[in-house]
Amino acid sequence: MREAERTASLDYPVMMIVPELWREAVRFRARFAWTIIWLVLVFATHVAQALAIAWTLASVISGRADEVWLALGMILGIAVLRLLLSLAQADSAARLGGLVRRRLREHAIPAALLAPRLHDTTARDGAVRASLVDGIDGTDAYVAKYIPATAQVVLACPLVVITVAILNPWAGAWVGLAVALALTGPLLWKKVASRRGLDHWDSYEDLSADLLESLRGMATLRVLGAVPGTRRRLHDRSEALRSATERVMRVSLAETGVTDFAVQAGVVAAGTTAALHAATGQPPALETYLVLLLASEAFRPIRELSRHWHAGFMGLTAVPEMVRLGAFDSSAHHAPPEIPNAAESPTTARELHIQTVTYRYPGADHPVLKELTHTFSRGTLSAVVGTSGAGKSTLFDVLLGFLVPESGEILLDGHTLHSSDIAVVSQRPVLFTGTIRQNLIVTGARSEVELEAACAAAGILDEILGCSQGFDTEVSEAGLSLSGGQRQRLALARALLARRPVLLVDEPTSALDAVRAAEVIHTLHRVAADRIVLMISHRPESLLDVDSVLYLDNDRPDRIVR
Amino acid sequence: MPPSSPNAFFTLLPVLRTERRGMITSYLIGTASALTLTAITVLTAWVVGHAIVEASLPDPFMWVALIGLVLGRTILTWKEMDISHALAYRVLARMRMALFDSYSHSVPSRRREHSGQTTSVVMDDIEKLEFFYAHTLAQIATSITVLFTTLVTATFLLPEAGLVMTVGANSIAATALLGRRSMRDLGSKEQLCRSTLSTELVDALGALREVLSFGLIGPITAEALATTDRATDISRKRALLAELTTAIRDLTVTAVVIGVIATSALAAGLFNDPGEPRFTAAALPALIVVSLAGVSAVTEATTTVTQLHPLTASADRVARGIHRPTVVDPSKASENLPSGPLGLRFDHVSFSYDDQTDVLSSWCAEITAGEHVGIAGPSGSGKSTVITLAARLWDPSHGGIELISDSGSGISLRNIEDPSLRKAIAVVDQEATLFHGTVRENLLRGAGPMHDTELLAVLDRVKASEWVTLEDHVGQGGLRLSGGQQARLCLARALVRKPQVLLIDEVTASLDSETERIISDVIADYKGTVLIASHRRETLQRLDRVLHLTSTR
Repeated sequence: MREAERTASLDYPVMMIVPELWREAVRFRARFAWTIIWLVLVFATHVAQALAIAWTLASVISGRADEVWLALGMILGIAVLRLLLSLAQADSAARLGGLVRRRLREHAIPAALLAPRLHDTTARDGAVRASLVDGIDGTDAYVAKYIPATAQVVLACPLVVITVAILNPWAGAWVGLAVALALTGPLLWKKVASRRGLDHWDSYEDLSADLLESLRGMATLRVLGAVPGTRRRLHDRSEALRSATERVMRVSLAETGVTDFAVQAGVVAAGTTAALHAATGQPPALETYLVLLLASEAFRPIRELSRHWHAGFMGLTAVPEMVRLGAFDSSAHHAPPEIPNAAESPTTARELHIQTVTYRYPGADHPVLKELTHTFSRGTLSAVVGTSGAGKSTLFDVLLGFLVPESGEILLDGHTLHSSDIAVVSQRPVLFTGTIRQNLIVTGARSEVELEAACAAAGILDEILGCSQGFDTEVSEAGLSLSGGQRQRLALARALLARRPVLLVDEPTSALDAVRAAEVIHTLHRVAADRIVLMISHRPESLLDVDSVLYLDNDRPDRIVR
Repeated sequence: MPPSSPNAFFTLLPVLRTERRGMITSYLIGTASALTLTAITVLTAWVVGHAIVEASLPDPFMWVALIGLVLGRTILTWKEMDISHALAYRVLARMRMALFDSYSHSVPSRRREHSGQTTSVVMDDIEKLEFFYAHTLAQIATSITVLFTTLVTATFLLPEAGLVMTVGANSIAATALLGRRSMRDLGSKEQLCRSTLSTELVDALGALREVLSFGLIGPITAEALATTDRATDISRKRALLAELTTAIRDLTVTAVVIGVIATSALAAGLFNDPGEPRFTAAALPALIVVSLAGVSAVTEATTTVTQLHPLTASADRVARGIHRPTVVDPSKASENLPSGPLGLRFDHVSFSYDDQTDVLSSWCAEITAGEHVGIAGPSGSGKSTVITLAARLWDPSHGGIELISDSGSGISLRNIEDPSLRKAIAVVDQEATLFHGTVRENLLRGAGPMHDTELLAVLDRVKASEWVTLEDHVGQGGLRLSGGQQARLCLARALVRKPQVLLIDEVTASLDSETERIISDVIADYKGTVLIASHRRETLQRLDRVLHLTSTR
């Protein structure tokens, strides 16, 4: 299905028009219009310069010295004017490109961060990163340069061709023909180019995903002795990317060749036609020079177009992937960003009721959770226990709304449970790049006193204060600079600071030594006084004083499926 | 931000050494193509000029020549671009692998780095450098050749015009250095934005569960958009600066045209009419075209140099990436490992993460072949460090670690070639990850080919065959599996290799009691040497003895 979708969206009808990107660019109407207007004005100064040069040449021939100086002065004045206009154009184009990139990210990022990714075995972070960063940046050359250049061709070329035709019909015909060839010639390749572009982006994504994965898992690869094997694999991928890039480039270069041919042939044909007339029919010298110079100017927009096509094409190869990600969805169907402070309506709740919930992984024969009914209450710590694959983590994901049960419902004090009611500490908690403080206050600003209280409760305060920067110590990627135990306790502090009525903790003591583990369990018992706390645990000692225990028993362990 | 030096480009030049032939071909064809273009425009101008002034048409040979040149130019253009691009992509592919090699010797570094950033170096900066390799050197050489050819022609036609051209070409060349500091600066800021964005998004994707449960999509998107805006602002400034230098060059080109027309008008005797003009107006269009071609060639070369300035930061990062400090020294000698059981000896081992406080200091221990030994101690006492050093992910700062054969002779880890070492030692640690792919692919990663029955037997030993088959896809990082299932597959992957020494770090910690029992059983039955870092009493109880580490901090 994915293949079909992508091919369909790449079958661009005419020219190198990518409707998705045009739509995005046109959306910023004023910016779009000015970018084109400035560009056409810059082109107008080139035409004016051609006129001035023709005038100068004619004046030299006819020996009118004062006119020569006047015309030379004009050439200089025009050049200065062009300087100013092209600055305005560059500014406008850069802004237009930025607006479109911004808008694409605004749609693509929320679309990429959806719950189904959590359980999607085909999902690869590296591939998504490539689309969101490099792919969207790659559209810039097309939006900021190629689109205005296309508009310029449509607006300016016909005018120049008509002018040449008025001066000399035959020369006009030659130039018109060459312009047509330069524009339509490359179309022959368009289909091939699109298909090859598809291969190119696939290879780029594959390589990006493989690299990210192997760099993340380099320690594992090294101890496995898998570095040489991985290297071979990456080498193959890199070579695949190289040959895909070369194929795409060949096609694009062939187009450049056709365009280049048309440009040279057009100028030569127009020039010789004019010369023929000059030699036989004696038209005024000015007109003959004009034909020669304007014939060359008629191709300036095309040369620009072809130059930008070269740069813009690589960016376009990512468009189908961006379509798939939802970067172009005009309807803002993604959930509006939750504002943590405002969403903190109920800070406490009495009970969490699970009513005959059944969940089955797609394609699985048996449900993991089968007609599960249970009530968890505030006031005492509750535990969920069971063997591997019994569905403990699945239950948490169902509560969080990441998985939608086949049947049944989940109620918090009689109302449907929302994910904003839940704070969570997962089994392998992840911290963000930034300071410890930034990590703790992700759900809203908190006072220093609150931070310290939460960290003390999670048993991490001493270690934080022991760092030279305290709460402003930087946590490196995914919290890897911290030990597993420290990460777990920071994640617990973060969850406590979230002030939500339900707290889910998955194996809170797994990376802790006996003393620390006992402290954390004690904290959980304490915080269970004013919220509903569910803990997944395998540790018999953690369960000692827990009265409310839900045993999940899956006697037919579910097979994992693709 | 470390200052990026223009020397980065030079440190990357050695990669080009093997491509000398391609570069010379590219230069020759490029020059031929550029000269053909010049000839086309000059001849056309010549024809028009003579037609107007003398009402004469050139002989038929000229027509044939023109048509031939137009066709030739098309083929040469295509060929030149084809060769130079293919060359650039070959070099880039080689550079990607050089970077991978460098990282495989330097990761995990003691100071943790961000994998999103690392990847963006490899993918993004390398792509950016395509421009450098595809165009710079051959193109500059071509430009210089074209300049000299046209300069000679112009001087031949009218010496004053040659002088104007020389002055013009020099002023244009001088603009190559215009605004280079700002451009370099903007280039590295732009790159910083890109890697920041990369970092932010990789973090968000890696922490998707937290992102979703705390409703962080809004802030994350806002952050990314702010970075995008910053990047736009920077690239806008860069575009303006580039446009300004281009426009100044354009202005100089215009001045050259004006100068050529003025001097030739003087030479043609337009203003003083001394009787005998030294220059015919019929050649004027051709002269203008010749001088234009010359200064345009210089303009192109300087534009290329200008475009390199913002890429300095990329070149710098790639150069530094290729020359990273290694975390383990290459094996000095290649001693053969005996195939029998192996013990492990730590001889006055010291190690520190920051070169200041030692995590381990002159630590000694000996584990005889076949012994099952635990390492216990509070958090931060160096349990994981011992495992990491024994796995030779890092070398100790002082002291040595040896494998001991049956006869009692020790072989330093430093003297064993990596493939033999990895065959002898298997590691399951906290950071052990599964990779995107099937269970079979994961089990065989880094191991030789093996029959499915063997793999299935190992899956049976860790009691995994009831919930997984060899064909099942585990997803990136094993996301399709629970923590306990992942741990069991990681252990299975270690067992498949039949190592003589098994190193285990804290894996039983996050497991349910059933999985813990299964893993402990497997380890207890395991015939080889085992070293386990753990704080779990249940795990340590079943071992022959336990070494206690005390915190040195």
